Amino acid sequence: MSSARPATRRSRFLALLPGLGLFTGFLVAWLSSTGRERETPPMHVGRTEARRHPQLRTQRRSAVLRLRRGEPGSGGYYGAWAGSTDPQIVRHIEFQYEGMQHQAETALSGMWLFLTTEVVFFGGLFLLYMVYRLRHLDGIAEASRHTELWIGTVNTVLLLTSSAVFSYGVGRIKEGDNRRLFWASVVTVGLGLAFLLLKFYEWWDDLQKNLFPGPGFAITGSHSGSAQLFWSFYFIGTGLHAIHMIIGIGLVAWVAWSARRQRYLAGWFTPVEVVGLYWSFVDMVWLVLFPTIYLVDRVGS
Amino acid sequence: MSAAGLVGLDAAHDNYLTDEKTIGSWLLTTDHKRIALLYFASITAFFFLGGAAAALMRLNLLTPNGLIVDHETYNRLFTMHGVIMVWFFLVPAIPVTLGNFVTPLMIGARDLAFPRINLMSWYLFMAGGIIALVGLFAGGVDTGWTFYTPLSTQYAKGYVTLVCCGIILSGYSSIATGLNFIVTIHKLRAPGMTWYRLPLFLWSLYATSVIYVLATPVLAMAMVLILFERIFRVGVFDPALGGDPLLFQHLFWFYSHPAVYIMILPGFGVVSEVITAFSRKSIFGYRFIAWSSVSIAVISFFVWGHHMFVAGTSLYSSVVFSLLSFIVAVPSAIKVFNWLGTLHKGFIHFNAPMLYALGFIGLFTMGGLTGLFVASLGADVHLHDTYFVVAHFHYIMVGAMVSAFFAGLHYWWPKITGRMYPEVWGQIAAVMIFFGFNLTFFPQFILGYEGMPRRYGSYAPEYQVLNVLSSCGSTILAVAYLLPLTYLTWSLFRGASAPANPWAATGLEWQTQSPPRTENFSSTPVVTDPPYYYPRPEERQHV
Repeated sequence: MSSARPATRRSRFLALLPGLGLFTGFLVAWLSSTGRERETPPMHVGRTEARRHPQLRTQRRSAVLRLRRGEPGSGGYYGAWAGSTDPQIVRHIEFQYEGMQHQAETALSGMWLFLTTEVVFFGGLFLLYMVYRLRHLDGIAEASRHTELWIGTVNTVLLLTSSAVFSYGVGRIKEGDNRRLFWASVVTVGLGLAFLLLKFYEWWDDLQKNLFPGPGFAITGSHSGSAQLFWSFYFIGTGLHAIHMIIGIGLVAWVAWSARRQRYLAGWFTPVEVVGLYWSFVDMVWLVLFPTIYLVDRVGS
Repeated sequence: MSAAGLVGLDAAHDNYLTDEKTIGSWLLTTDHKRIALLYFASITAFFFLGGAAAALMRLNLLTPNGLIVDHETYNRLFTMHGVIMVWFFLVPAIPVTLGNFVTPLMIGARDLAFPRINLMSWYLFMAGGIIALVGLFAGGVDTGWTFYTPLSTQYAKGYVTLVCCGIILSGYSSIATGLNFIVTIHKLRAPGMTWYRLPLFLWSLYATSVIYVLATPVLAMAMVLILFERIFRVGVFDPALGGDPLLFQHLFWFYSHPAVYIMILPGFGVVSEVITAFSRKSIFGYRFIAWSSVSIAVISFFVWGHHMFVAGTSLYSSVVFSLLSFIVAVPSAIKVFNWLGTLHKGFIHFNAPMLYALGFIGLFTMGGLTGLFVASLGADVHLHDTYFVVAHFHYIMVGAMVSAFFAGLHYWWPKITGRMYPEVWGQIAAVMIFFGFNLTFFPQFILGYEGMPRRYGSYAPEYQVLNVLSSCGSTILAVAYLLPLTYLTWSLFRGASAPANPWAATGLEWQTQSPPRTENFSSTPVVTDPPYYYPRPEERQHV
């Protein structure tokens, strides 16, 4: 039963595509970053260097202190802007923070922590999947073969590309380039919407094929029960991911709108970076969902 | 920074309560102190609602066949009691009220790291609470607060879907609060406020927040799965399809056991503050208490299986979970012994907060030790699902935790409101709560040991005497809970005005005026003393 349909050449090729997408993404990110003058912080001594060369320790300590104080030129998160007294930047500092550096670090750590809770949230679902996968090996493999591999693959490419494009935008706003950030966000929104459109089409197609669990379910026979469990997981997992996508598209659209109005500065772009973290997380969830849903029994057997 | 703070108006009149007076300034406030008061109002309402359900249950259990309600209504009553008390009182109680109020004050910050998320968490909490209440009152839910499948997904009547939605919303409110506290404690400490100078209340809040952030999402997922199964009539946990109902119990208790420590850890923190302040003595074993909070938080993630000893899990996993449950007793005992060590040779003052804290130690010890009974595999087979378990967790969650809440409330009341509470009434209420509580729940240990099962509206006639005793005790407890509501409300209008530091306690929150100004401190404080620095008389002469 498990070798009902051997992996075809086409499906193997499709499974390779995401790797190609990842490669393209890295290529775009790398190309966009080379050839530009990087602002190297003066006097920066890394932790390892300081450990190896005792004479550098004092230098390292004072550099760290200057960085913590957010002094100009200390090479911290906001580089030369950290301790800025420019009223354009200062008006974005909320009253509970000591400075821009302090505010940005706090906001980013909050977002990372939130993403941790999201990992645990999806973790519960993946636990359910793992248990059922181990208990119903053949049934879930059979059910997985009814998914549309090409849609999953194209969607993976779309999503990875969108993350690379948005990262490009984050890199540009660090130089104060609102125009490039705007276009990067617009492309990101477009790719995200394309993903959702394909997803909606896929759901519609699945419903046409009676793949929604319940009475009249398409897969009958001894594997019907476990196949229904798999398709429940499929709809819950992709549904929750789609909700995250919709929120993410809203956030990126908001970034685009703000960038259009020249709102961000080279010394203040925390919201862009926070949204970027969230968008990459949505990406990561898909990178787990994709193989668990589409590639269960297609490659390698 | 408010304009009033800058021009330095008269300190007694310029504070967070009187800065702005419109209703909008309360409902849209981002001030952690005002949000704490919003939370105070809401959780008090939930506490008395859940308490009313409990009172009706105790009234019903006066006679063996049930005095007032039928079995279906009784099921709905205990579900309502459990859902409201767990998710809308115990889990948020101390962190969102006392924690929200004093955390920035204790570390010398002007607010929490994310004030708007703090306000959002209150709105999520209220939305969740109202949705759950609509479900509980419109038709009720008869699954108990645990929502076990397949009862909750296939057989339960009533508004399971609505109540689950409410619980998910309140869960995200908890996550927002926990996230805010963790980031605040990491990033917003005043100069000189090192980790080992943090008040122990903040160590325990930090540990609580870790559980909030890492356990609550799993509950959200468990509830989402129930919702999916109920709404689409699809079996996620349905054994007929090869699904596993036990898997739901694993997911549920992976949150709900750590949630027990969410409830009690902040209580540990409050008691550490109160005991040392009213012993006028530096706390004994600061680092042990701090790290025992953290280790309880860590171990709490590895003991959930002890709720499922008789549910058909493997014996080997049960043995491991039993052992791990015993290990939780170690950090808990470290705390109790360190509090006793603090009392030893202290200059003890029996103010109301101290009486509540001492009551806490007694009740927590009882609850903790009986926990070891149910953590042992052999005894649990006999005691599982009896009143012994009910008595055990009420000693921790009601006896200890509510005592700690009142201890903290009285201790910080002068700081929060700028008024002193009536001392004698506070002491009377503290003693009444202790005795009323014991009269209510001690008989239940015996009932459970004799085999009376929980979650039934009727019982065999030979259990009646102890049940009547328990119901009598609950009347005393109800009066004792209404007392603080009365005299604290009275003190809001008639209480003597409070000085900045009425208890001569250490801690930055006592260094600013009562009630504090909106931006908390006129200038960022600098910490130079070790924590709980109460020099002994002979040391004072040299200073």
